Amino acid sequence: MDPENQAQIKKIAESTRKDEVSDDIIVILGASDLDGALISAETVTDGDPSFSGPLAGVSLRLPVYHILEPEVRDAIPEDVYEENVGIWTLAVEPEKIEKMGKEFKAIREKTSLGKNEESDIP
Amino acid sequence: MRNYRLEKPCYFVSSLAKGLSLLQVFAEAGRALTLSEIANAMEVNHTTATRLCYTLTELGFIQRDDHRRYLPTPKVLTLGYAFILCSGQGMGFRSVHRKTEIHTKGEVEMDNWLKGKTAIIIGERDGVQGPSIAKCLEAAGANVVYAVTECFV
Repeated sequence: MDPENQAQIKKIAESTRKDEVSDDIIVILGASDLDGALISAETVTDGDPSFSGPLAGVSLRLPVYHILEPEVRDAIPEDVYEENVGIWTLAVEPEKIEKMGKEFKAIREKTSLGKNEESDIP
Repeated sequence: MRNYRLEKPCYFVSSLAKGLSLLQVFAEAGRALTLSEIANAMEVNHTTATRLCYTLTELGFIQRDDHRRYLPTPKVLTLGYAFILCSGQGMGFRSVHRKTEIHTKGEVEMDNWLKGKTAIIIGERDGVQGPSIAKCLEAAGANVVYAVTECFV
C-alpha cells in the first residue's frame, strides 16, 4: 500500500480512537487482484508487511472488507451498486469472489479476536 | 372452488388447496377484498372463507384493513423464494430475495449495517476505483473520510 495512504489511515485511526468511535471505522478495498487485496488487508490489520511505510510494525486491527463481498454488496442500494461496481461482479469469476469473501472474513475474525489485545494506537 | 381431476384423491388436502387458492384470488383481483368477494371468487361458503381468512391472517399472509377488507402482506412473497432461489443464478434474483426478506421482517430500510460507519476507501485503478466505492458507501449511509485510488505501475 502506498506510504502516503498508510499515513492517512494511521492518522484517521488515531483521531477516531481518541473520540472513542473506533468500532465504527472500517476499511473497504477495491483491488481486483486477490493477492494485492490481501496485502492491503494485512497492512491495515497487522501492519505493513513490507516494513516500508508508516504502518510498519503497527497493528491497527481495523475491520477490512472488499467491495465485492456479498456482505458489503447487500448493504448498498442495488441501483447504486450496479452503476458503480456492477461491471466488476461480472468481470471477476464468482469462485474468486467467494474465495475473496472467505479470506476477508477470516481476517476480520482474526482481527476481532485480537481486539482483546491492545492495538498499537495509543 | 375449482374441481380438480385427481389420480389419487385420497392424497389431496383440499384445505391446503383452498388456502392457496385464496392467495391466488388476490393476484387476480389486484386489490383488497371483502369476505363476501373472497367467498364468491373462490365459490365457497361464507364460513369456509372466514376460516381460511382467519388462518392466513394468523399465519401472517394476509391482514384486514379498517374497512374489513382483506389484503396480502409482504409475507406472501416468501412463497416465491423457492422459485427465485432455485431457478435464478443472477444478481437480480439474489437482490429480489434480499429485499423481500428484509420487508417480510417488517423493516422498511435496507439491511445497511454500513450506516453510520466511518469508512476509509482504498480503490485501485485496475479494479474498483475509490470514487465508485465512495458513492456506494455514501448511499448506504456510511461516512466516507478518505477515498483514494491506488495505481501500481
